[in-house]
This record gives sequence, C-alpha cells and structure tokens, in this order.
Amino acid sequence: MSSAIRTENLVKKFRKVTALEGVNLDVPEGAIYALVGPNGAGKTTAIKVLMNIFRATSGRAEVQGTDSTRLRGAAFTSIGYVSENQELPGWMDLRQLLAFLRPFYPTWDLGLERDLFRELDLPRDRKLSKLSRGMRMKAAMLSSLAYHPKLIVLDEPFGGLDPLVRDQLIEGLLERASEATIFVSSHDLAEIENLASHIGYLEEGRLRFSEERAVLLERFREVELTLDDPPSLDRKWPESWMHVAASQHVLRFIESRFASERTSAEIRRLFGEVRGVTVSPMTLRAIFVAMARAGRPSAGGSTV
Amino acid sequence: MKNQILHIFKNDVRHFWREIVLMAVIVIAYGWQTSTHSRESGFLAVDIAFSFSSQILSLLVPVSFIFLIVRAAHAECLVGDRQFWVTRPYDWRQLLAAKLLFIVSFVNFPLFVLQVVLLWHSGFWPPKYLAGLIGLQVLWIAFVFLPTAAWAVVTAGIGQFVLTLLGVLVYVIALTALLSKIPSIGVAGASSIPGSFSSIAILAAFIVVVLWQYARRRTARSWLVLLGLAAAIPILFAITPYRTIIARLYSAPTAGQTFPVRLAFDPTKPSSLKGGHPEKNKVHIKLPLLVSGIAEGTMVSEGGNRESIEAPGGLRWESRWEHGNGYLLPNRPHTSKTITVDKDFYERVKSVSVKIQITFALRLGRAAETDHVVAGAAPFTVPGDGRCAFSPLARSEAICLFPVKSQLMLLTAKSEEITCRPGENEKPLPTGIVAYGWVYDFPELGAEFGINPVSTRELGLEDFGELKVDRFPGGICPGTPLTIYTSWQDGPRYRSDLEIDGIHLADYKLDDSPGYNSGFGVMVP
Repeated sequence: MSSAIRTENLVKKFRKVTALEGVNLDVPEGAIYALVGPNGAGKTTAIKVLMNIFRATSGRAEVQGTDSTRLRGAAFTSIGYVSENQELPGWMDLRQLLAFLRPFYPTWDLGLERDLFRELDLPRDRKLSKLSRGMRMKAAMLSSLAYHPKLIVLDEPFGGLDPLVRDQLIEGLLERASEATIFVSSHDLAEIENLASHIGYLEEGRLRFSEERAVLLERFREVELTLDDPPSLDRKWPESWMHVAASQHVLRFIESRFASERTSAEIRRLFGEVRGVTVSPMTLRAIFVAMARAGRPSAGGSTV
Repeated sequence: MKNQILHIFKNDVRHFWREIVLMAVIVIAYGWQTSTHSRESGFLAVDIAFSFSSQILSLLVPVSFIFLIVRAAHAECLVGDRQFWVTRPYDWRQLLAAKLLFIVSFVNFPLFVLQVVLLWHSGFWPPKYLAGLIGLQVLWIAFVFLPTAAWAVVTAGIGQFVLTLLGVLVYVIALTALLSKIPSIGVAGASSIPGSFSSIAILAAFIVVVLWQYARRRTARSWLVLLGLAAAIPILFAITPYRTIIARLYSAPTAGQTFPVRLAFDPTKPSSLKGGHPEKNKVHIKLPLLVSGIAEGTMVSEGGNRESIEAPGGLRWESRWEHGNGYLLPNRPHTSKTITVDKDFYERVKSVSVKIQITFALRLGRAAETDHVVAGAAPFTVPGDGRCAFSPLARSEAICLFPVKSQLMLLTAKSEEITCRPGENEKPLPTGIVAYGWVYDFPELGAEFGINPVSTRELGLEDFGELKVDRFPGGICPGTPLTIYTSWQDGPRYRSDLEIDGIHLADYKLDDSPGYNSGFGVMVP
C-alpha cells in the first residue's frame, strides 16, 4: 500500500527549542491516522511542516508523493486542511467564502456542499468573524470537504467543542473516510479513539510509536503472576516489560510485545513454574498512560 | 482554476470597496481643490483655509494609496502560519498578478486620471505629455508604491506596518546624520557612486522581497535582506574613497589648459563684514574675489572647496573637502568666498600675515538653447511649454505653470530694459546692469515627483549684482524683454587653485549676524 504521508528523520527547531526530533512517519493511503500526544508534543508543528507552512530544519516529508517543501498551488486541490487556530477571512459570510473557494477546486461538489450545509447546520449569512468557535470549525470543515479531498488533515479539530458538534464533525468525517486518507491530531485520545485505524504517539518531539490500532491493542497486555515466593524486584527485566511491580506473592507488569508463547517462555525462564498467570487486554487510554509514565521509547515500537 | 487573477481581484474589490470609495473621494477633493484654488484669492482667511486643506489633501492622497496597497497585500497575509489561504490552491504568480492589478486599478489609474485632469485643467494637452505622465508613475512606483508593497509583505497588519514605517523613518534620520559626518561626501558628484549603488540595491531588494514573499513566504529571510541592506548602505558610503573620486572628477589643470573662469583675490577690502552666523569653535572668513572669463550662456557651479592656511612659525590649518553651492555667472566680476576656520587656529594667527590656498571643484554648465521672450501683460509662454502670467497680487513677478517638469532656466534682463516703474521711495534702476533670475528643476529625474503634474514657478529677477534691489524697482513687469537660457548641459569639471598671500584674517572675519552663505556671494566692493 502506498503512503499518503511519509517523513524521514524530520527535525524542526525553533532556535534552541527542538519541536520535532527525527520523526519517521508513514501514513498509508486510506487510513484514518490519529497523531496523539500531550500539549506541546509537536503535533501542530509536524502538521505545519507537512502542509509546507513551516520548513523542516532537516529530514524530509512527502505528502501524496510530493516533497512537502514543494506543496503549493494546485497540489492543495486534493488536500483539505483544517486547524483549530486557522484564521478564516472574517469579513466574509460562509456563502461568500464558499463562492470564493469553489472556482479554485475542479472537483467541488455542489451537492455535497448542500448536504454538508444541512448536516452541519450552519448559518449562511453570518460573518465568519461572528461565528462561535464550533461554528467556525464546522465552516472550515465544510469548506475543506466539499471538493472530495484525497487527504484530509485536521489539527486538533475537536478541542473545546461541545459533544454534539464533535459528533457531527466526526460523523461528517467518517462519511468521507472511504474516499480519503484522514490525518488527525489531538491531545485527547478519547476524542479520536474510536475513529482511528492507525495511531501515532508523539511526545517531546519524538514519535514514540506509530502503528495500526488493532496491532497496538494486540501487543499490549497487563500480566499478573502469582508466585510461590515473594518476588525480588532487584533484577534485570525483559525490555518489553513495563512498570513491573510486586505485592507479596503477586508480580504485575505490562507486556508491550505480547505473544502468548513468547511471553510464557519468558516467564518460565525467569520464575520457572508459577502458580497462576492472568493476562488482560488494555484499552488505548491505559496503553498511552503506561507509555507516558514509562517516558521512554516503546520496546516493541514497530516503526519508531 | 485557470484564471485566479480576476477572481482574487474581484474578491479584493468586494472586500475593500469602502477603502476604494474613500480614496476616490480624497482624490476628487484634491483634484477639485487644486484646480479651483491654485492661485491666491486675495482674501487672507480664504487663502489660509485653502492652503491648509491643500496640504492636508496632499498628505491624504498618498496615505490613501499606501493604505490601499497595504490592505490589499494583507488580505492574503504572507506573514504568519495561521492564514487559511496558504493551504488553498492559490498560484502565487496569479495572486501577485491580482494584487498588481488591484494596485494598478485603484492606485496608479486614479493617480494617472487625476494628473491628466490637472494637466488639462491648466491648459496643457495631456496626450502631448504622456511620456512625462508615465515617468511620474514610474517615480511613484519607485519611491512610494514599491517600498510600501515591500514593507506590507513582511508585516502582518496595519499596526505592524506603521511601526515598521516609523522604524524606517528613524533609520533614515540616523543615516542622514551619519552621512553628514563623512568627510568630503558633500562635494558634488562625490557620492554619486555609492548613491547609485544604494538606489539600485534598494529597488532590487524591494522587488526581491515582494517576489520572494509571494513565491515562498520566507519572512525571516526577507527581513534579513532588508536589514542587511540597511546595514550595508552606511558601510558602502563609509568605505567609498571620496578623495580619489573627487580627484578623478575634478581633474587638476594641465599645462596650457584654459579655464572657463578665472578667479583672483580682490585686494579691495570689503566695506561690510556682516553676515556670519554663530558656530561653536568656528569663525567665518569672507574673502573677496574677482571673476572673469565666463562666456555668455554658461555658468560655473562650485561643486566643493578645500582650504589651507599657512602662518609663520610653521603653523598650518587645512580643511577637508566641503560641499559648495555657489554659482559664477557672466557679468558678475565681484564675488566672495566664505571659509570656515577653527577658532583656536584663527586666534593664533589672526593678526599675522598668512597664506591661504583655496582649491575649488568647479563645473561648467552650458545652455544649449537661448530664447528671447518679452513678458506680456497677457499670458505668455516660456521655454519648456511654460505658461506665465502676472498675478494681480504679486508685484514684478510672473507665475509660470510647467507641465510634468519645469526646466532649469537662467533668466537675464538688462536694467535699462526692465519696465517696472519705481514705487514710492524707489529710484530708477541704473543702466548697464545685468539682472539674473532662476527657475529651478530636479535634474536627476525625468519628471517632477509629486501628485500635481503641473509645477508652479515664480519667474522673477532676484540677482542684481551689487545693487541693493529693495531700493530699486527690480523684477519683471509686462514688457520686460528677457533672455532665457535653457537645456543646460554639463561641461567639463575642473579643479582650480587660488593662492592668496600676505593677508590678515582679522580683516576679513565676518561678525556673527544672520545671512551666512558658504558658497560664492556677490560682493559689494
């Protein structure tokens, strides 16, 4: 499968501050990729480099097969970019904005525009500067979806929106998912947990991991061992075990590269026969919390 | 989209229609005011009111143009990372073309129409002056519109733009002050090399910044270009070898060479030494000179001068090259040169016999055309398509209108032919005096930069040589025949040394009363 977005050792520095440090990203075409990370992790910077708003300090980025530094003009006819801090022309109302933008896009779909208008419940005649934040986001979304973009890039699109608006936007997006690659950033996993097919976790400018959601959920497990004797924590644990903790005869850890046979063999090597083993799947939120607490690259990160 | 130019242009017109209307109102008001009240009415209050409104409108017209350019540039702001348009399929060339179309339509075109109307209203047939009108547009683009566009594309809003302009103003003031400290820079032609380089570099930088910003939006680098240029200009002026340039421009005399002017010290002591001006630690010495050899239809201008004074006991003082601003004309045998000397040195040598050497950097100018015109009671014409008429309010002076650009004119009239009648307490002019008058121009430019393409000049005679003109009916009156020299061409440049030996500086020191002139001055022997 070819890539809609690809970066190689992407570095962006603002004077002494390093916003992105060697980010390698690969977003397959057709994916709904969620770039997650705390505030200040570098998500917006990464997106602005991809959209050729910022220039990378080093490394390279490709968007739809085009070097991001060459992304301009006609290349944007197939890209829809929406950002929470984008400045729309406040002197226009939405009807004027759409009338202005329409001729720029050969694929502009008037029917889709009408549908989106209806779905998103937007006022046509109110100046954009007079719209609420949620309304503005919806207006930006409408103006970025009506031409069937092949790539939809959304930078924190749902932050601060009320749940109803958020659901409307997500619904609108999902309806377009079959025809486009969607790249969405958020600091709040809950916003996009159920939306994403792929997830990347960015922290302090580094991409901690980037992989398919299903694979991620598959490889993280909470493991609880019941032992004959109280375990000693003063030993070297396997690289893939995180947050190893003991309580009397019980040892708990998070396996970041879970494979039933391999993990069982590792346990046997370290403890011999154990009285009991409980393996529990983890939610995405639990995985991210574990990753954030670990503060180090995932042992099992597939594309980091 | 194949043609974004008209699409963006129309959008800008929709966006800025209020600003466009405001600009149009200001331009129309200026046109109306200028065409209906270009001359004094005779009622002081009315004249003051119109003069004030004229000045306000003269300021508002360019301000409204600048405002429109800045607004148009900021509509698709090139600074920052939040503009919606940067991730839309704009073609930068078409965006730039749309902005140019907007500026041409709502800045250049209204200005052009205004100038055509003003020309026509003053009785000049506009198509005849099309080249001049285009020249005026070029000047406006180079001096105002292009710099405005360059600053607009590196700023994010009107506030930032105004702050930047203030910064530029402070820079220009500081640069001017700095340049005035550079020795020998004031000699005519000496700074033409760094001046030309700077002008070209500034224009090139502005064009590069505009193109670069539209093509790549590299604001930080564009600022670097502008700031680098701002730093380079004073350095360029500072490292220019002015003395070498002056030596080349004003060649030393060769054997057998005849000068277009002969200068000699006039041993007659001046009857009056009034006319100095107080200057800290300086004194002014006024040396009477005799001038001869200047042919009719020529003049000699002083590009600069340098002096040295030697006194007994090995005492020596030497000036650097100073700029000169005097003219030497035919039929003016007496003139003077005022030199500025360090007070300390003067105090030490004022009573002893000293030797002064003055080196003049002189330029010869020749008039290619000579016209004889009689000032008529009815409107009359002068060279350069000038139309002159006597104002009922101004005595002995005609007001002339010139289309696009006035010419440099030297007027002469013989005193016995001047038709102005002596007024009360005035005596008739003595015969045998040649009176001179000037109409100035801007020789470097093909047109006279300004909003109004019709320049107004006074046609009068102000130089009566040794006569105190206030006691005589000087000037031009209907019927006065004038000889007008025009189409001045630069002749050769010379360096001329004048040695004056055995004089006492105290005999020539000016007192510190107003009226100082560092150039040549007409002397009363």
